[in-house]
Amino acid sequence: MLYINQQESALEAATLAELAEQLALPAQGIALVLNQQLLPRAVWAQTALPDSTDHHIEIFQLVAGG
Amino acid sequence: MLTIAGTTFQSHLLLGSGKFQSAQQMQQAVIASGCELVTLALKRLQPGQPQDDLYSPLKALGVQLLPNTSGARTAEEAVQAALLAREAVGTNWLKLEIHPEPKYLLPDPRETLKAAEQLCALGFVVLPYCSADPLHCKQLEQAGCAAVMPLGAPIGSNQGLQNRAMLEIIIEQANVPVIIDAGIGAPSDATLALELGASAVLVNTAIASSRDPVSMAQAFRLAVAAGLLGQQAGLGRQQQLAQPSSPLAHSFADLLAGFS
Repeated sequence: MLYINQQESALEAATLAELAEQLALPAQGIALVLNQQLLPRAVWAQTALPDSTDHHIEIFQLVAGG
Repeated sequence: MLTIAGTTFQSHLLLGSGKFQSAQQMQQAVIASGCELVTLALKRLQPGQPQDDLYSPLKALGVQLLPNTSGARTAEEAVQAALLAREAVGTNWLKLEIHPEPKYLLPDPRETLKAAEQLCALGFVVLPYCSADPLHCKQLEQAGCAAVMPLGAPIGSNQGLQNRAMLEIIIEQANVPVIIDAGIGAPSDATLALELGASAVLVNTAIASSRDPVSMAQAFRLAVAAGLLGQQAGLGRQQQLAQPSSPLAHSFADLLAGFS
């Protein structure tokens, strides 16, 4: 099961890059944490999300702020 | 010119990107303000909700992005936010802010100093939002911060430089740029900050909450330029007694004797 920002997700993806595509994440301004590890975008394509275990994903984006 | 950590900026105005009516209005205000550093925040993405891409349009304007750690209540949280921000923005520049209580959003000096020490050791260029306390600002400088950003008044309060006396001591003692952050409510506040010797000001609410934010951004641009010029020209000395601006040596009484 995938948990995105602490919510169960029905999405299925083989890799983080696939998941990012399904979520239509912007090409920049995003930080992603998988199972408490901050993973740079460069490794998303090589990061598998096997069904055999749960994955906790936290996604942060840039927003306006002072 | 404003130099922070070896990077030089023409503008002495930093802009916060929050509270504008739209991303487009914010970008127009950035252009009108002439600023070169714009602050942004980081937030958990809400799946399914539309995502405004702030990164690309601001980058296209040629401004440098300065992510903040807003939302962090402790040094530990601020360090985590900083690592996320560095990944999201691709910069090691950081506006450190830790304000755990929502009523006045005052910076927590103990946690801010602790986070600053850790982040400087991690190689971040740290610009801390901090109390207008000269000793605290000196400690942040000694921790390796690239600037200090003491508040004029509580965030978003538009009250101006309520901490003026302390800000003057901070400016007198600082060996890093002093950027007055928070509380600046009017262009004249920004002028005063620069006249007092501040290196720059960071403005958000005063511009975003005005009736015409784009015009107000331009007003701040001019106000900061005026204050900077005044600072460089050197203010005349204040004194208790009057000093004549015109010659007083000759009395007119003798010249017009008998005239009626």
